[in-house]
Amino acid sequence: MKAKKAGKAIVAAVLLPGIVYGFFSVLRPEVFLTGFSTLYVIMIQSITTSIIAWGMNFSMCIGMIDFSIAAEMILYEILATIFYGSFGFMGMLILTVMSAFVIGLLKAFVKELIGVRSMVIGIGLAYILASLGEMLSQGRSTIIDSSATILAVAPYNFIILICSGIIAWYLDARSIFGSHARAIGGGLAISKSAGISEQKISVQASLIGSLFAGVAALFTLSRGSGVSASHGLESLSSAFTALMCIFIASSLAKYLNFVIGVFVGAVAMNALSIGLVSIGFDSELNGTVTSAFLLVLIIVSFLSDKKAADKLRREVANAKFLKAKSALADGQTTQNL
Amino acid sequence: MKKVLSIVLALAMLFALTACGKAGSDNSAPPENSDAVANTDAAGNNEVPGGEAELKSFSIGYFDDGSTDGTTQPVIAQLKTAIEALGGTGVPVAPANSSPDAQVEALEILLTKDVDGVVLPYALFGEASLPVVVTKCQSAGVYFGFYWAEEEYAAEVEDMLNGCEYYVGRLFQDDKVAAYDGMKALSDSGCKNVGFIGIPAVEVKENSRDNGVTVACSELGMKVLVEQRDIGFTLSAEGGAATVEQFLTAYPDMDGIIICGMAQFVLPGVMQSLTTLNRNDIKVACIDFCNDMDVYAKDGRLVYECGGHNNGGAYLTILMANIFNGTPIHDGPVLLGERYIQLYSVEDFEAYKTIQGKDSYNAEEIRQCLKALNSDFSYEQFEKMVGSYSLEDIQQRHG
Repeated sequence: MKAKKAGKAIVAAVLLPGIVYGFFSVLRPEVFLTGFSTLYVIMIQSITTSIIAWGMNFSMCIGMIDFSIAAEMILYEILATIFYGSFGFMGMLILTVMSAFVIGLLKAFVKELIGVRSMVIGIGLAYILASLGEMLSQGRSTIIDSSATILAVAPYNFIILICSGIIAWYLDARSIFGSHARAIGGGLAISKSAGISEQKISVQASLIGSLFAGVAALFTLSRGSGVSASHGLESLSSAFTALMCIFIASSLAKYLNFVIGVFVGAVAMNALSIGLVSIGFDSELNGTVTSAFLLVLIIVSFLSDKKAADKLRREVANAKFLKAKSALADGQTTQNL
Repeated sequence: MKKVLSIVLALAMLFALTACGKAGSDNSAPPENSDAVANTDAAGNNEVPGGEAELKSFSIGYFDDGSTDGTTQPVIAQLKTAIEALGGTGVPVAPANSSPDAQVEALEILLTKDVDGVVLPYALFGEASLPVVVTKCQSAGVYFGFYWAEEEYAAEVEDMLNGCEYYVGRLFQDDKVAAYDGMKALSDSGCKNVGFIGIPAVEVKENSRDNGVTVACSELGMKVLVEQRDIGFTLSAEGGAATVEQFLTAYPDMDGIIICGMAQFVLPGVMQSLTTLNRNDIKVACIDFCNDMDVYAKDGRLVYECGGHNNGGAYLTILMANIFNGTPIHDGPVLLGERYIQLYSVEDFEAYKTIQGKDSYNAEEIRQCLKALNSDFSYEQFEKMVGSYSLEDIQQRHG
């Protein structure tokens, strides 16, 4: 039974990115079937999205989509360049994570103070965090030396990915916080009656998201070796990409651990993106195709779930019918049933 | 206790937000009819020849989205210097986004603030929005002009603009030449197969730059292998890194990259990705100045940078200030080419570094463009000032 479940999980993990990769391998075999460089690029392009998605997941779990997490990441990138200039590489690492903790805590308390579970709060916070980033980057160099970009180089990039994934998995699947967050997401009234504090879990979820944003900032800064302050809601596209990965992970949740599902989603989307570039597809339509891909996936997942539910309903009805038939055969009335 | 802590933290965030606010709130006071402007230099201690003059006070509306990148920020800084130097008050407004609709909405906000003139970035409006702009400014009785504009428009749009008594004129750059020169610099460095990064093709500037790239391809025997115009990639350094990774994975024979816009965002990522992928043989040419671009020129990978088109708003302010003071320097709207600064060699980049972050024209130089203060100033001198703008020109004027 366990082996069957594991087999299904492996198939689910490989199938989606595999289909995308296979499709483009037919169109451009010289790009996709020669060596592992394309696969490597797809993997490293999936790291930032995965970390942000893991961070966003907990807030989503309790019913609040936090769009400000990408703006927060950009703010931490800007802070990291400042810390690097003043305190060097180690100072940058430590102070950025500390900043993520402090700002994350501040953000979480502000959200609690407002007390409204709405994505509008996240959008408002995205504006504020973008403004802070713009103010901090004014007149400053926002690049770091190539020597300080080691986090984006193998094996460190994969170490960051795996460590973040393990922490996300532990929080999601093994911690009390994770089970409480799921309980709140499942039903606020019931969870409250079970003694779960919604405020406490909400603050924790927001803070964890901020810490993941801090880690993503360090990796992303290393990848680009620089950062530009975003203004307004420019950062939203990164949050949307992460959100798509969460949707993909949700649709694969039946077969696959959520944390792995997010990464599988990111890999599939990046395979699609690089595939479109390789066939010379109009880059302005890239987002449209990616969204369409997600839509198809969600529809397929919905139909598959519906089919399974219908099958279950039929089986239950059939069982009831057989039970009634057998009772009748035993001389009982259907009324007694 | 938790509630008290929440309130304290919320207040801290509120203060941070207040600190992010623009000084624009100071500018909301209605302008007085006239104002004695002390004729001092930027340091505020030297009198301009001609002594103290009675200048008309005025307000100029402009768009400031708070961007701090190496292309947008100098435009706003120079514009503010010009407005203040000429005795005016700046009224900034931030468009909600970069769409033409958002620009028109921002213009409407400015018009409700009783400004006397508005200086507008045409590149964000597009030709289709021009009739709306003309109608709104005409009915509000507000002078207007465009920077980052185009040299030519459709005849009916041109007629509409020139028929409006409040239209001051426009400043344009030769984007086709800027892009062509970038491709030429790549060609001179031995590049034949290039990747293209730019702004969406629907924008007018991009069309002009596209033309330059197309002409260069046919004349210089070059080829654009792949394009990236998706703003999901072109608004961040990481997007630049991801773009280059995709380019080089799909087209390993690529030997050059032309960035026709958005260089201020993507360039660090592009360069970092080339380093990570060990492809430092690839040359890069850009339009739009970036912070820290000299770093990339020094290692020989950045062979061309074009930008410094920071002065359009300030030039329009000079034209308007002279009108407001009853001494217009030109009869009717002006059409002037604003020059780019082009950097090729390491020496060029180092020379530009010495003036980067400073205004192209200081307050003293701008005050000399007001006829009320300098009666000798003429349109011919203004034309010469605009036409002679270059790296050497700035170096000569500012030592």
